[in-house]
Amino acid sequence: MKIYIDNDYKCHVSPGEGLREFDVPFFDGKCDEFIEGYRYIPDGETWTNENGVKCSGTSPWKDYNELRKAQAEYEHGLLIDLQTNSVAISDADTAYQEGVNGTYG
Amino acid sequence: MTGFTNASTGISGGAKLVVSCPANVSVTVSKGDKSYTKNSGTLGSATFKGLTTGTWTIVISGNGQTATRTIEITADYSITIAFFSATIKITYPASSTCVVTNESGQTVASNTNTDTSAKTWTATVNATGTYTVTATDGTSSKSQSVEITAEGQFETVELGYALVIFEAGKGLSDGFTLTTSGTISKSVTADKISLTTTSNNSGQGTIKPSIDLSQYSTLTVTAARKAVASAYSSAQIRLLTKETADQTDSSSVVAQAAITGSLTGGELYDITIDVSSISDTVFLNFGCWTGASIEITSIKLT
Repeated sequence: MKIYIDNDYKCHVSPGEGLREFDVPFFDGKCDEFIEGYRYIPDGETWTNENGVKCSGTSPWKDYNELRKAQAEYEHGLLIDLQTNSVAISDADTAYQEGVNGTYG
Repeated sequence: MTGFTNASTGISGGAKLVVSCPANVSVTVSKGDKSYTKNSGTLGSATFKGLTTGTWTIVISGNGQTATRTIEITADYSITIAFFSATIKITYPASSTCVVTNESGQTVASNTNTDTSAKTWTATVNATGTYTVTATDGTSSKSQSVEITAEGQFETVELGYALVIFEAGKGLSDGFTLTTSGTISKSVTADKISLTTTSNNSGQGTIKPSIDLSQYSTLTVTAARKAVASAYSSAQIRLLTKETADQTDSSSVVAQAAITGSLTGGELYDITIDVSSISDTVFLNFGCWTGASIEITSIKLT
């Protein structure tokens, strides 16, 4: 998934001035709130934390518990949508079958 | 003529002015529409009490002579004081002492833990400012700063010393084991951990048991990718919510970092992942994909 990082290596879901674009499979399927709670440090680069330690990789800068909850709610919403669409498809199929078999009325 | 004031008694009663001058002369002090006169007597001293803040004029006269001086009197002082209390809830390691110091380095609270497990206590501070909470067992120490800005503020601090999981020369620390999954071989000696995959094979190694990251801010692994089967080979350090996860399964990955190196094998280097925002219990996992092999000589949480 395409994400955009700022000078502090924090992730953004939309392009913007000064942001760099990267394709990061780690964020595939993740909601915006989850993505924007992470830092992505590209290979070969480092980010220096408040204690002067150079860090690398992909890790959350927001409380991970909050990000996990946001992702769970997002996935739950997707499931509801899927179930709703599934019912609609089933109803449409039933109507079609009634039309084919002349069983309506 | 000399005079002095005693303004320390200025609690709504004004200041005291003692005028020393020749004996038996008239001494007058005045400010605005207020004027007071006394005789200096045989001791040559006249005392005036209850003088308010401001510039007073002192005139002595006698024997046909006059002398005048002015003096600045400060009789009123003010100070603002309010009740202030903020608390810091601190958890710190076993067999340690813990102190809270203010910006001047003064100890404002302290506590001792003689137990064999972590201890929690509450320190109360009575002013705003930046405080440093430090725990030490005589060998290791850990500090954290706390910013207090408001009355009634409540902060939590958890301190823990470094957790060494693997150290060259000592091997895996007691209580930790390395298990593998996939087509991968492992070697664990006192000096290093080696995880090897070949050809197009992949596998992963997991440190058990899982680790509570709530007391740590960084994970540092000294490692290198030592061999690769192709340009598609890769290796990763991953923090997982379960013991293992496929290379393409990011749903259980909390954080990760690549273990890089030249295609012909790289030098060991420190890879540090920021875990300060992770308070979960996770598994430390090393993924070796498509023929990558790695060596690890140190694993530490601080």
